[in-house]
Amino acid sequence: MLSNEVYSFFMDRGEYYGAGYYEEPHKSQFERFSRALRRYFENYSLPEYKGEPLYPCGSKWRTALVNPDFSFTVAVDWRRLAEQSQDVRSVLGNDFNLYVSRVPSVHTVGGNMYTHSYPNFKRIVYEGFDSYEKRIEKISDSEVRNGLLDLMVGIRCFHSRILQVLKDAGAVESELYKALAKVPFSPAETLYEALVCWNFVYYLDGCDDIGRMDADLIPLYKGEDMTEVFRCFFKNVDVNNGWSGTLGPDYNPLTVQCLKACKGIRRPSLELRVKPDMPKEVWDAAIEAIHAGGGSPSLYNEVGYQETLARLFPDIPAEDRINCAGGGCTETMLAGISNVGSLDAGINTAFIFWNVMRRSLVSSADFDDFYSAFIDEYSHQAKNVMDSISESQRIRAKFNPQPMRTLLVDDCIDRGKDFNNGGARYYWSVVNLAGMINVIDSMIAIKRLVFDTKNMTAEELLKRLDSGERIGNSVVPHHGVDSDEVNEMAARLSNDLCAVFEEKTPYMGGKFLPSSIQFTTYLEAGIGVGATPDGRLAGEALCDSIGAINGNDVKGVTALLNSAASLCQSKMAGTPVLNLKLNSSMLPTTLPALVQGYFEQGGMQMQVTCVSKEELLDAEKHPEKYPNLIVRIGGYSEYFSRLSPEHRRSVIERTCY
Amino acid sequence: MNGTILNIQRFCTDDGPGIRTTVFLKGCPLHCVWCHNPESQAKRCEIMFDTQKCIECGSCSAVCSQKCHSFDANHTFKRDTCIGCGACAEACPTKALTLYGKRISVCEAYNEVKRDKVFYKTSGGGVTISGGEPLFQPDFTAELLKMCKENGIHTAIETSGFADEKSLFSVIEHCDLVLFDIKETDEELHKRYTGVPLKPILKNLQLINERGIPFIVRAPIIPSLNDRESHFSALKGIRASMSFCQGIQIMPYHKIGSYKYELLNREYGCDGVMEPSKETMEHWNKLISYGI
Repeated sequence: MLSNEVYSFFMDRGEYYGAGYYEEPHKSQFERFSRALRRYFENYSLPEYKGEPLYPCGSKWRTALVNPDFSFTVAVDWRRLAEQSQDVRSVLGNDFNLYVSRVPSVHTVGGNMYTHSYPNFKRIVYEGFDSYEKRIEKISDSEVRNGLLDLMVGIRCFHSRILQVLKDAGAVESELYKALAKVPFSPAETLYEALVCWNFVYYLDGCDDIGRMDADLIPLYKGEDMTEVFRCFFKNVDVNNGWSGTLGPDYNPLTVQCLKACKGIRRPSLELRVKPDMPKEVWDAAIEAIHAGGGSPSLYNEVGYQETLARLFPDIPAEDRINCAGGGCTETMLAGISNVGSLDAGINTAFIFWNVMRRSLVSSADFDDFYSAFIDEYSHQAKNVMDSISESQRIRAKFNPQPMRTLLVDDCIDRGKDFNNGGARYYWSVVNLAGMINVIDSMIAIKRLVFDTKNMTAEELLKRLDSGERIGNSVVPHHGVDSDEVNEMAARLSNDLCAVFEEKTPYMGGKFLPSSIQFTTYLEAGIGVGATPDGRLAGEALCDSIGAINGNDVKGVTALLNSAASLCQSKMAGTPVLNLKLNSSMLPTTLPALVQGYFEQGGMQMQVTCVSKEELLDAEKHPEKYPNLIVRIGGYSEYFSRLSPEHRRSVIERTCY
Repeated sequence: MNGTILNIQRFCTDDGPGIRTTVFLKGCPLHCVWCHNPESQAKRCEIMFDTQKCIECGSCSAVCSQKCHSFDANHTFKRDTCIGCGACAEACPTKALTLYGKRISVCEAYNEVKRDKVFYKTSGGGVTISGGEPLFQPDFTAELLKMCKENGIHTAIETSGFADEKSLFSVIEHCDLVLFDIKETDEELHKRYTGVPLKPILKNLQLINERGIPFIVRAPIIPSLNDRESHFSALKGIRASMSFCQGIQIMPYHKIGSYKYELLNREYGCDGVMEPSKETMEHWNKLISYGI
């Protein structure tokens, strides 16, 4: 099938992104995808203006078949496309599958070459897109230069159409219209203009992460209360299933306004960077927001993160490191200046453990022998995963440019390079470790039952696991009870799991950063894993965070925090997520102390769901009564009613103090 | 130095300021009719027997050195010959038998308490020795408190105040705070409800005040037993007359522990007493008016 036939196919269906890609098929990938974006924005279906303080508002425009994608450049509904035309499906399959992830599917728990990002909102707000265009004109690479200039045409058209919508709605005299007459092409001069610009850029980016609003906007603050405007923006994030934003570490009135604005809203997942001297006013606002439900903000150890990043990346200056933020669920990146794999892969350590257990336990001379067999196999598979990530990056750099991110993230314009091909100032790759807690508990069980007390032989253990018996449930200590024996195992194992990532460098540069970010994937990740001696039956879920497996933390929240702190969290800087559920009555009196105590011991992050068990049990039976009940899951917030029944049960079973 | 404890509970927020670890000792000279922890009264380790869970497998009698378990018509447990070794509880497959109480050294207890030191620091918390009655094992309590204080941990006890002066002074010299229970302010009613006289308790409270140790009065209020206005007035009088009293905290009656009496083969002294309503508790708090 010829390109012009594909072009016509898409044009006839109003699929402007798809059509744009086939307009000039002889051009480079960068130019073709730039054209695709241009046509998308020139024809973007704009909603009616209803008087909101910001515009656009509501869901971003999506067509049925082909859309821009901030992670993969393009997203295709292959099934629907095949129903309409097998020929076109075949052509697209050849064109859009030039890049395919090479990561082994068993190790994609939580991620498979996803890329979340933070546009450099701040630079656009204070410099304006007109200055960007001047910089683009100086790019020597004609493909990147032409592509970005083409994209700017589309953005200007989009902007003009927005002004027309406002005019048609009789809003010419509104503050919004006046602001948009200036931004985003000229610098913002007021806080409101900056927020209008920020919202516009958010929609350009495809509604991903929201930036460091309090830190970047405070220079324009003159005492205004913008809580309702922030809230309008957050609702735009929520309706588009957007992701994360960061607050702090230099707290200011906008920090509090953002915390007030996020109350009861599912997204963005706000991340509050906590310092030991965080003011009471900020704590009060944070606790009030957590209390309102939604799981925001989660809490981050500012000192811990800065020290860790300084150690991992000594060449990154402090003025760049200050932009530390969790993107997507909460993958550590630098806002506005980085391209971070978020998540590139998720190694299923429980799956590896189970296979090694079946293969090597019987022949292991002692516990250390078995442990070494596991670490050896894990290291081998982890290296394969790292190689596959690098190979995926190499191919993606060639075939899947991201023109919009090239425009919005530094230093792509100044380097004249695509976002996926060396343009960003910093690169690294975050890799998830799934099942780590299951492995810790299983190792303790094996050590005690088979090798220390010799309560059972290795063969007997395997046989009893196969028979469906829960092994290791009540007779051995678990992660979460602050047992010295288990804490030592946790420290040892987490250190060994992370160590292998220091042996390789990603193709795009930087480092591989291990993390523990499960969000909803801990349920499916257990499906292919047989019974393990942490009390888990075959196919059951893995642990959902670095806390205890559900129901094991029987000694209280301080014991749980001590246990979590025993992991080498500074090596899991991609973010080691800890889920905690606190009774709402305890929140104001204990949360700051718990957080400070945890962070002092090296804990890096904590996210708190605050809801009563009665509420959750009722919501499980009658989800329709709780459409707005939000819970925090492995890095982000989700509506309880949208979770599967298995996920809802899992959230309820997560221990509540 | 060893003591008998029921439990060491971490992350307690109602046993003094901040986040605390509470060490519950076993043994109490009082036998309050409303006590919701009857297993805390006897000093010795003892078995609680839930007949509903018993499947009459006989595992307990097979391991019992004192022949306490017999199975004639049904399972009978001879409590008075039991030495509290716990062998039957360990052997019981259904947890129908549970051992309450264990012997522990001061060092072992301290090693558990010190685990949350970072949270004591961040919350202004510490350790509380409760029970049971901490003054009933004064040597153990004093040693443990001393060890905690020497290591910078805030110390508190929760006490009925019924003890000789020597025991009292040996303990309170290591206390930063005392949570002092006053069950009843009428001498006769106090004897009837708790089994011990009131006078020595009030005298000990005076001594604590004279020593300059801050204390909080904890007052369990039981409907139809001590919820009289005169009792509230007397409590307020204590508050007014003692400069180191930081306030009065009402502990409203609840039935949560009443099921345990059957497991101990004992009679519950508050059958028929109703738990107070929210409005009643608000009324009590108004009456007390010097509440925390």
